[in-house]
Amino acid sequence: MPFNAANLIDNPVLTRELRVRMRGARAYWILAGYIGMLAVLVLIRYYNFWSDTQAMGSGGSNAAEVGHELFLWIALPQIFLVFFITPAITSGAITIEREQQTLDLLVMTHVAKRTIITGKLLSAVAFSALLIISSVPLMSICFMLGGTAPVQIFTFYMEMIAGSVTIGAMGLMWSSVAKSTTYAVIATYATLFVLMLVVLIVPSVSRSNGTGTASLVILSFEQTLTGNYFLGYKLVDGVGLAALCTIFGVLMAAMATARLETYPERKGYIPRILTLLMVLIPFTSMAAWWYDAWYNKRFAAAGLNALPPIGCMCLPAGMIMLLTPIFSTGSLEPEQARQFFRSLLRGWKPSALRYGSLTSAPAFLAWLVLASAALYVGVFAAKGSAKSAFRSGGLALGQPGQPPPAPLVIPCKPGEACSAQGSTVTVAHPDGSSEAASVVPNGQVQVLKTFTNGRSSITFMRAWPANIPRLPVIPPQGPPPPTGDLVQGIVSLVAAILGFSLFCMSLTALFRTRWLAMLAAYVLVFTTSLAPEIALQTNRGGTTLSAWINLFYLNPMEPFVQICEPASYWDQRTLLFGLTPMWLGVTIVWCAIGVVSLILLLFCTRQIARSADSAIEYLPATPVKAARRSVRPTQ
Amino acid sequence: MPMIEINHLRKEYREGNKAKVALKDLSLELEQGDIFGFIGPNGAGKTTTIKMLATLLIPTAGTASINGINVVEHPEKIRAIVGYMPDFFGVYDDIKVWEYLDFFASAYRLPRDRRPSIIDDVLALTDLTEKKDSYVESLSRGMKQRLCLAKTLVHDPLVMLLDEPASGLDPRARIEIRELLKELQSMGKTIIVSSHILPEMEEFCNKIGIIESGELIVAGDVKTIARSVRGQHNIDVVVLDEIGRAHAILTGMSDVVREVKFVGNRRRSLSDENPDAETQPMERRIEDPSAGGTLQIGYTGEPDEEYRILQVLVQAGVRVKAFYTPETDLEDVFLRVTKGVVS
Repeated sequence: MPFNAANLIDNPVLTRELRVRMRGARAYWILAGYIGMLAVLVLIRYYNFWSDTQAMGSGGSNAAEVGHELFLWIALPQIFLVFFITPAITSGAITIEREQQTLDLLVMTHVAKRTIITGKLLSAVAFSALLIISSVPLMSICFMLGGTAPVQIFTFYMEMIAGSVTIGAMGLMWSSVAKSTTYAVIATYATLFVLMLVVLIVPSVSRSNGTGTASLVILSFEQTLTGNYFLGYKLVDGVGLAALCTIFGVLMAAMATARLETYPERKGYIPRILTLLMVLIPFTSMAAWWYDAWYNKRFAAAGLNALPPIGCMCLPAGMIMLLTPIFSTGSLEPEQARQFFRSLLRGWKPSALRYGSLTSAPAFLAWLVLASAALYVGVFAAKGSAKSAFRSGGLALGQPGQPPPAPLVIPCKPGEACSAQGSTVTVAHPDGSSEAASVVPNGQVQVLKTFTNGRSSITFMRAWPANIPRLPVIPPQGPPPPTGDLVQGIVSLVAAILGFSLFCMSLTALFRTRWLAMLAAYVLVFTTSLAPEIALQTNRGGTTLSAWINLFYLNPMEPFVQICEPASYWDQRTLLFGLTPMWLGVTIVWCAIGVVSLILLLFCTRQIARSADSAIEYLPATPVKAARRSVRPTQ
Repeated sequence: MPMIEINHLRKEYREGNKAKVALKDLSLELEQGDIFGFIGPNGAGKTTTIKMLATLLIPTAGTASINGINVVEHPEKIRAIVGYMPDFFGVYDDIKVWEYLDFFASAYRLPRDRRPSIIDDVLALTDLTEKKDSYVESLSRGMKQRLCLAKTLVHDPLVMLLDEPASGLDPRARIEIRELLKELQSMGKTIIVSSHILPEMEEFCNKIGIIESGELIVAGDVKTIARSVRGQHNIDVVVLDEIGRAHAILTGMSDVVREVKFVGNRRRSLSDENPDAETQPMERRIEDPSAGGTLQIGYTGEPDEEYRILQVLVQAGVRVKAFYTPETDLEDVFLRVTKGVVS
């Protein structure tokens, strides 16, 4: 269809949606309920302020403080309201049309598919914008009391509208994918819930608890979301969030558009390309932030241990692991089942990737991993040295020019200062004297006492002195065990993704329904990521580790965590393969799972091919009352 | 050049890991102006075929073209010349009749200034002019069907694909739809209409195709099909008495008579039958050879030579009360060619 500027304005879908949206009482009731709820909140807070002023005079309460508080009282419920109302509109936008059979009629017209999606999205955003803007009069009370800058309120409204675009687009995406409105609504709210959990709750938990790689990954993600950095460039506050929201909104809307295209089964590559971008864009942004933080020593400012940038590889590792079941389950076509291994190999060809067949899933996911690795190296190259990307683990060991690992902070008595360097624990007493204890190779404990007058003494003891806190586990002597580096990490990630993808495919072949296979795969993912962590946490200080801890070998993020923290990684973990580097363990375990899955697939696909050959079923026909006679037409 | 050309079209669905064939090897040619009745039980593959022609489903194998344009290769061009009406209404809620049509008019990118007149035209054609400002959900079922048809006409398509346009309508609404289709035929449109109800097709289709279990069993114009399906053609002979002798005489004429069946002591008529009973009369044993009754013979000779049988009977002194060919209607053809596959 030729491009026509008039068509941009003349959007029949938008026109119809807008005509219908405000028709009848429903929209007004929603609006009234929404404003009413906000008004009640404002009244409650304002009444408190008023009664305080009455009781204690004008000085009783800080108006500016109340103004800011009032802003939060209006803003926070609004975030929840808008983020719950917008997906309710969009998650049914396409499924309802499909259910009332208008979608076929609509896609058969000359309207471009993107026009349909834009129309649906804009009409939903227009409604949530109406809700948002209708709260402006309430917001004006904040100006009366002060305490909130106009820019702040403006930014808030901008972010709200950007956020409703993203969430609306997400609802549309699920609506275009799901079979019925019910499924679309469930999927949308489930995604929203997970998103809220990730964006709001996890960072606050991780901030209060620990300085490990996991919390840093989350911190960097949060920083790229809410901070003023985007793709490694410093910008105005909130821009990162708005930019990511917009990009994700556009990508998800594009995904919905792809589903409406003529013969979507021929365009399997479009969702794949969009998925690729959805993984790579936040990853690039995060890698850039991490690089910047490392080289500009921003971790110290954040009160965190310095960790090398390789830690950010955890993001693509986790995301691709979560995406694997989606791409690796589905129905196996009989032609593919007949020549399963050949089609698995053919999946690596660009043409197979284009059509998006099931057997090309392992190849696609492996390419996704390699693309993330390439981007990681690319960020280093853009900042000056591509080579240092390949010795990311080496950076952790404090190579020349790099910051040394910061001393470990350990608990000690009030008034004393404790620190640990390697296996040596030093206690500085308030009077200026200090004691340092460490284990020497013969197993004895060497205690070095430094007195206030500058003199010192060394004593050897059989046991650790009681007045010096001890490290949870005394780390092994010498250089830390081998960890591998970027290349090894990528190898293990590719092995894990391939193994998991094959595993998911064998689940599909076994269960013969996609949803059951997907459910089983996700249960596995969540078990492997949570169970060993729980085993580790519940064991803090104890000596007996439950066997669940070995599930760490199924988590492809662990090699990168180990590369990040080579010295302390083994402190509390006693795994099956001992001190074998995690990348090797992960590779071996996943390769074994992959091989077993392949053997299973071999049997299942043979069966599928055989049943497909023998039993071609016809769609059920309703019985016709007729005599069974042998009269056949003579044609 | 035929308007619609379908060659060896096949569609398989995959449910889990099982392949299901909705349509096997369908070939068909239709000329411009044809009204093709696509008849078959539910689930026979009618909707699948229509959806493939409407570019909504991709064929597993085979080709289809409309007006010389391949359906799979140029779906956008096909969509411009095809009007599709689904088996379910396909209307929006909370919208007025003219707004519904205006929506499709703008969706088909008709110029803004021409839209009102086109809407009035299609409303007049479908006899909905006085309902222009009514809400769609207030319309009766028949009116909604006509509205859907009006929507299909907005972009003046060459070919119309109507999936069960008359299902669930009362007789009056059905007649209205039928009149409408006749009018469309006179406008030169090629129409494919699917239905599982036969009588309604008989009256306005010039060609029919019978489909069962994904196979097109017969296709062609109604008369040709009736002839080809019959192969043998039935003649009922009603005699006043001596049925045993008549049976013997007729059985003796084996060169033109394939079979002789005694079907009852009374003359058979359609109104006697229970609708659930089999259309074809049961063969019975002649209990009293001297009584009268009806014999049905399967005639295999030339159509114009039927009188010879009557001649032989009359010359032999048999008192023939009636000698006639029962009407073969579509229902009969349908039952003959379909096997009544029960899933």
